[in-house]
Amino acid sequence: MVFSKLTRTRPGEQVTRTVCPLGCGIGCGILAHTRNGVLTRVEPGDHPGTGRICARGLCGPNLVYHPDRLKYPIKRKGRRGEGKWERISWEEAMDTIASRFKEITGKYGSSSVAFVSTGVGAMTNLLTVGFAGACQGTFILPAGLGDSAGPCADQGCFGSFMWFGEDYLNRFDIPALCLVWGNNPAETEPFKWRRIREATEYGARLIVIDPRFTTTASKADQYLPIRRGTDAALALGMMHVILKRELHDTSFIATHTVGPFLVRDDNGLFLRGSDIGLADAESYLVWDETTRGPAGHTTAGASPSLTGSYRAGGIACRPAFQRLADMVDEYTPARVTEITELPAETITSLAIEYAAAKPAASYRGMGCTRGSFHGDLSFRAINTLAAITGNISFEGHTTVQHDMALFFTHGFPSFVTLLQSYEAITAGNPHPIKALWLARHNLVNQDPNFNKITGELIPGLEFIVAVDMFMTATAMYADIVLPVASFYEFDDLIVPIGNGSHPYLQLQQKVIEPLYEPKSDLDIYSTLAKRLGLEGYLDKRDEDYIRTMLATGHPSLEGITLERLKEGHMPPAPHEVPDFATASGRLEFYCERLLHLGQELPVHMEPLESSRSKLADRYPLSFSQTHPKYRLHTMFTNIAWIRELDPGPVLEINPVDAARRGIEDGDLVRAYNDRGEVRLRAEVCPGIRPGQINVCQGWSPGDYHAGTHQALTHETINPAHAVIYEPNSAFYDVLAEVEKATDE
Amino acid sequence: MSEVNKRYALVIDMDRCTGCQTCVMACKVEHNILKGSGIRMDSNGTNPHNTGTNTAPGKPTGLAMHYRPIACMHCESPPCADACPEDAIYKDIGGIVVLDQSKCNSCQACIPACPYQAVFYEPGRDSVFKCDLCSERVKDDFEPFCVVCCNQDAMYFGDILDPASRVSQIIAGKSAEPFRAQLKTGPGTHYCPPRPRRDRG
Repeated sequence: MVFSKLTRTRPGEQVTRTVCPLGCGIGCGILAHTRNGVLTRVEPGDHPGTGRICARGLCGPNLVYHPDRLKYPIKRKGRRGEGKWERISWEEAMDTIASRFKEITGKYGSSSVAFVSTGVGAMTNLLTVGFAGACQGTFILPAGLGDSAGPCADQGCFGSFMWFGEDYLNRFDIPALCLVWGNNPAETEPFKWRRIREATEYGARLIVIDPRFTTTASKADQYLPIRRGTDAALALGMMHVILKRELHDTSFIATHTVGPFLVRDDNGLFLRGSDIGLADAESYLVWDETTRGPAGHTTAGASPSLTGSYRAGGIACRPAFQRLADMVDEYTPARVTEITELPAETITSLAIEYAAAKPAASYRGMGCTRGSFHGDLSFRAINTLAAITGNISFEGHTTVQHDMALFFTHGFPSFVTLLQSYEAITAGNPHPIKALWLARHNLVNQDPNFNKITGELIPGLEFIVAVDMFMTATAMYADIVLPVASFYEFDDLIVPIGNGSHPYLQLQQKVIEPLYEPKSDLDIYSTLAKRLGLEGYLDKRDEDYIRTMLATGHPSLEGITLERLKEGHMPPAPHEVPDFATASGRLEFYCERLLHLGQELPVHMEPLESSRSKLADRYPLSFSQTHPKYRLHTMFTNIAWIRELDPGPVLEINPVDAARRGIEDGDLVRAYNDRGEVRLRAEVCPGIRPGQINVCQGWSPGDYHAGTHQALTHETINPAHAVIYEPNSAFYDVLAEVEKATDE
Repeated sequence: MSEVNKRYALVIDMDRCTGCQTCVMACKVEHNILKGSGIRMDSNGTNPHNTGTNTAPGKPTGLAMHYRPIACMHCESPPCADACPEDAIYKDIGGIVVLDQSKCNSCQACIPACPYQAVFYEPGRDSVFKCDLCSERVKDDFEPFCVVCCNQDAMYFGDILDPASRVSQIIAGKSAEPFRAQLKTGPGTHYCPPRPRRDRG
């Protein structure tokens, strides 16, 4: 007797294959059941291809039919944030927005009208960028919201797009070792975890490096509670051991990396043909051991040296690998022990095990990239460790190239990065922002430095429009709030986003009509476009746009049609991709563009708010805000069924730190620093490292006794990030102190 | 098909379970439970990381975390049925312990009788509720909904009396055992223990 996993329909029910497009980066297939136009329930769709459902995904209908859902446009009656609203018609809302946009454009220029959007749907996201362009306004790039340090590292090293760099490190059929860095996929990325778990069931060892003992760590053979923000030092210490013992993969380094490229001693730049008068002026040069002279890196028959010191055309130079080895030489296990607070013998044995495992897969998380202001260096060091041991995979690189320019028919916006937008609003740098359109973007809850946002950014804006499903902590401060359709109420294209997830394209299908008066993003923008005199802009239906997005003619999209996507998920068509889309075509562990910052190689730099800085005298505890297990950022915090699993915020604190402060489990405590405070209950648990405190993020100010976790964070811009991609919010590079508190 | 010589049960792989509570939510969805669920997530301690010591930097000892989804064990001799004055709880075909809502008068005598705390009062129905292995689905040859939804393929359903069934093979292959068998209620649910981890700090 075999029981069926197939969907069981009840009489009168229809089933539509759609997708849960929420921002956990997975995009699980969903079978949505409807009866008489009502979404009755959801089930997992065609797994294992696209993941499975989770507790959140099962609550999709609870979001759609939530009693607090915004039903119609409203405008502010009282002061901002006071919570007094008046219902208005869509006509009045659109007329008001159009006239305020025109007025502000007249006063400060069109780029003072800014748009920001968060979400996963390809069309939804592109629409906001496109509309900002049509208005000649500004689009605020949201990846700086904790996501951009990864691409900063990986664009430099691999030339990869967004989070696809992760694929180079772990797309192995059956890894012998899984090394997880600052990542908790067992709780936050179930699809990625399934691959790791399967590897362990085939015999792979699992080692987890994290200041916090997570569910992922609990499944590991070895758990290394590293000091926050020192992952780069550990990777460098491992490289030290590997190079001392000559366990590195010289053939891989010579063939696939910039390791053999000569670097000038005088200025740190790659030695190029033009430097020594070669005909191939742009060619990178290597030292050919056969001819004992410089040669272009593509020269046939050359045998490039990885080590040594040379003079080429009178210029002193060393191969990039030699420079790496010279730098790594300083990271002895003893020194790395001092930095990371992991035992020296552990560092040595980990290095030996890593080098011997064929292959060893690495999985990196935001614990690395948010744990330090220099999180990009952590990722670069981990990438370099993989590179010198040949633990790089070229499989599964299937980026989809859909049409991303389709909404730019009326022009392009100015772009401002998320962290730069603070100064644009407060100081007009690089240009003033006076009106802000927030499309499902919870600025007040999810962006750093709450008190600055509410104290300076909100007052600095003359007009705020929030487009959301609920009255969020951000919508509370808006002048006009527009109700938006849920992902069960409009069509969209969901494309893979990398980061160890599946590669499939899927269709988000409209399953039900929008409840009450909400409109889809497309409808909202197309209505507003008419008011703003943007003739012919956004005059087609969503299906037409999805067809256009799929019609680039790029080989990755061959045979993929809207009709076929209605039936289920589709992988991108096989197509040639370059090994590395870097300038050199090789893995670039050496980055010329960061020479001026002393970061051409992935050195360890102490976090901005290091637990060993002077600031730590006053604020000795490192504060992190890891991703929650049962929620997704702020989403689902208002679902009663989810609240049963996750009733409210707690501050995780080690028993040692708690005892020192007279704090017992369940006590009301206050975490604070110079920027602000948050009051909540303490959870005294040994799973958090001494010196570290943590709140699972996403809770709103109203969920705390006072303050909010984002009151502790800061928006400091890292210039290295700005060079490569865009500056990241170092959400966990934060020091704080904790004390017992009272309720006011 | 004869169900007389069958014993349907869940087999749950604790090595795979991540405590994601998708099963807990699936039960609420399938049975439309306002508050509570036919499954609860038991973990070691009151919070997920409550075991072990971690006082000196870099040298924690004994940190451990495990999750055990607990639903009605569909016991051979269910104490809840013995406690019910209305005979509303009985062993159905396939060994499934069923609670007949039409006979239940919400006296709640069954709740303390269950040593696994698998029966609970459900305010939405104003009656008690417990897992029935989705017997309505099983009758149509569909797996229980929690098993369909399990995010990490950690739940299996089948006939544990049939040595050829997948569940029997998993029980044998992974040394799965009932939870607290010493209570002698003859629980049907089997748990595959987490595999031992070497040198975990």
